[in-house]
Amino acid sequence: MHEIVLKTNGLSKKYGRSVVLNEVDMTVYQGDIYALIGKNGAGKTTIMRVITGLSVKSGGFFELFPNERRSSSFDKKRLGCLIGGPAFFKNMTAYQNLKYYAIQKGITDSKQIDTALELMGLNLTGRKKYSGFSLGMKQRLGIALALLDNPDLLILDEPINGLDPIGISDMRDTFKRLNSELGITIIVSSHILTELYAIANRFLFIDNGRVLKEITKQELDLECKRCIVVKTNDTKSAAVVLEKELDISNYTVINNCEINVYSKNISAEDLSKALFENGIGISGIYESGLSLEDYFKRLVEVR
Amino acid sequence: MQPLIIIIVLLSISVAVLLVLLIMSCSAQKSITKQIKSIMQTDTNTLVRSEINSKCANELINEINSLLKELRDNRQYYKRKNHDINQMITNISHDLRTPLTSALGYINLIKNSELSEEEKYREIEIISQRLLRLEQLINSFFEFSRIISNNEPPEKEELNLIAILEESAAHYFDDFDSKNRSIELSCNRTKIPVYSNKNMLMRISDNLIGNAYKHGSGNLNISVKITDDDKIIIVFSNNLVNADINVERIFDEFYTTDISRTSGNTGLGLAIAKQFTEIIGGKISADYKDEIFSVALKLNK
Amino acid sequence: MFNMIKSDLYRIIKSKSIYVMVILMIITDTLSVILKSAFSISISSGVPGNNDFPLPLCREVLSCNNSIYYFSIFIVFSVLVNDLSCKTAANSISTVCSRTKYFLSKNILIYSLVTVLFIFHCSFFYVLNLPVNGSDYYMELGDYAKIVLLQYPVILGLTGFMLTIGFVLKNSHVFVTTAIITPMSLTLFFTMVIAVTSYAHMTGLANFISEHIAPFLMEIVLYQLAFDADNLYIFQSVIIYLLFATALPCAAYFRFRKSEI
Repeated sequence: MHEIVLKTNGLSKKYGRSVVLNEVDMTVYQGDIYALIGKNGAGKTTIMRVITGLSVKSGGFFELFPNERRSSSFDKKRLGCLIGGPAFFKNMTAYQNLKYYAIQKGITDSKQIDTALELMGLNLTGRKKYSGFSLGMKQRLGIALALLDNPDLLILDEPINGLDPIGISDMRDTFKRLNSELGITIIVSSHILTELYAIANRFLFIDNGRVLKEITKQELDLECKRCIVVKTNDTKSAAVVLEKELDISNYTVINNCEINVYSKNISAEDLSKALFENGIGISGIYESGLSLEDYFKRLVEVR
Repeated sequence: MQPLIIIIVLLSISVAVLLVLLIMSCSAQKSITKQIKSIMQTDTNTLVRSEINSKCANELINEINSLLKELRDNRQYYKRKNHDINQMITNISHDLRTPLTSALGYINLIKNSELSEEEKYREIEIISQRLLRLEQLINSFFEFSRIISNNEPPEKEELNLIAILEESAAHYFDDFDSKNRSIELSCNRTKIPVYSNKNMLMRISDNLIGNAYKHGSGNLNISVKITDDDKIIIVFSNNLVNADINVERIFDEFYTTDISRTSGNTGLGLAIAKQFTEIIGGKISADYKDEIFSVALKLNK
Repeated sequence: MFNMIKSDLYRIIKSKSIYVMVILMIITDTLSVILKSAFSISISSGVPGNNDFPLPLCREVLSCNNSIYYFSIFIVFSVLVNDLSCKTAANSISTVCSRTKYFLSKNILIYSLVTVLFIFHCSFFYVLNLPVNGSDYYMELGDYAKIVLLQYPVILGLTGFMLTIGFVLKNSHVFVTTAIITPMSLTLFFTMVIAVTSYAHMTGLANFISEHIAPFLMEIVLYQLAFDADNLYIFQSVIIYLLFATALPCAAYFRFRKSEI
């Protein structure tokens, strides 16, 4: 279907005796926006460092753009990265910093630098040196560098770190546009789960260097959206009806006016009918789901 | 002897320099060729980069890169168009299915229940209305596919907006009536001229009313206003029981609220409305406040 | 690789530290010419030597070429260590070139720049000295060039050393400290060892050190080469320092290939 852009198999990384990555298997397809979700120190940045060659892997196997006919040096140039925070030269301006890398990459058209700066809103910094940039500007320059050379794969480590809400929203739109218009695959990690949920179509949950789950957005929605919330003043009787009449044991009483029913075998309609027939009045009934955070917490607990 | 040595040294230096330039130019060409080969083999955004700098080579590279960019833009354009067409096909088949299913339902009703001749006649009337609508829809399908594949703008004519809304409301009259709901059209005029495409406006209105029927409750209110800058705003609003709605995503093709999943809806109705609104040059937006769900259409006169 | 070198040149030209260094060098050379005394950076003061006949200024200056080492610290810092310690090297290695290419391009650039610096310093002094000080302080171009050529491998070896600690240490502060202190402390150390062992009557060890190790320390090598050493000594010093220039960077390369960036 879609070409594979990155495939890892049993990827491991040790620093001395501490294991930072433990048998990580992941697959990223062309056109994905792939989110890495995990706590601090779970290994998200390490994965990115290993696949870009900044850290040498301790074991396992990974391949970027698997294809026998092309050379790996060509494929390296198809990446755009922002890993571990933006790094630039303090005494040069934004334009000069990007020009340095443009020369390294062999870019012949100097308009590309202006395009990248404009895309990130940095074209008016003029003579301001990098040391005088705010955190948000530094971050945006890092992303501008990643976008400088028309990449096919963007690897971004916490790209919205330090951006204000408008900047975050702009970034979200930019990523979506790059993905849909230019077909750029994006691997992104962030702490802000709601942002990731809004843009990503595949997720990798990782904890302590171990993969908890690799899942697509549709599957995630399916797993998250499965609970019927019943609002009633008489939760006790409602619970009795659930157990005795409907044979449902998979529910939780949230507080004295709300019950969450997790069973997959009943619809909200049948539930409300049954409760009504047993004389229990409901003030509201609707289907609701787990937030991404709750889902992630659940995954970590199960392990 | 001295001058001879100097001449020989100078000569050999210039030969060496020329050789170096020659080698540089050769390897520049080779590197460009290799890169173009790699780029053509893959679906990539990368452009040709210069590895050995020389002015002539750089100019060549710039021209090649413009070509590559054009190629890439074309590729992306066709990918998007393809996706749009597939989308259209899905939308249309959804629209066709609806009246057909409805007609079949009525036929079943006639077959299976004991009805009087009068009632049977009425049901048959309804069926023929549904099938007529089906025919209209199929005709629209051809028109739309022409528009999408040729990028032809839709044919526009002078129309009466109120008449179109009334006709569209009439399609759903029986459905609303059977649930004790009604459609109210509020406007301070009986005639609002608009220059647009009749079929599309009808479809948009059909889809919005149909959506209100399926997901809303209570009466549907359609209000039409003309703003100061000569734009027409049509608001379809109705009660909505389900509180869990994401207004921003409501026009996405596969977004459905959860209760509706049990009634087999695919969520395409609003997406179609949005697509058609954009084709005729209008704007559409949704809002959900105080348990009232409203969709606003903004059209040019 | 050409692109890497070109980009580093672009960066150096945009920064100011290189200009400072060049101006400093011009000033010290001019001062040497005017004051008729060589500028040198060393622990000992003054130049040991025969006071019977006037010391040729040129030789004296050449014998104090260890200042080139300290000037080239600027170069290595600017080109290499700044990149590694600001983590900007990560940008290059992840998306532009392999570690090998990166290593090679930095090496080539640094060796070339140091060579240019060395030749500039030597020729600038010579050219300035000639008209200003006249024939008293004059030295034949041929002899001068020969000494410069003999000292060149030493300079290369020292650069190799700096490159190695640059690639291995990757931290700008530690690098600068190490680079500045190492030659001085080595000289100091061995001088102390010789003094101690002589005092403790371990003459064998003292002799060994003073015959086989001390002559090849940076300042002493450059001094000796400037004042007519014998062929064996020349041969030995060239071999040792060429070894530094080639073997040390190789070791640094193997370390660099596996390190974290």
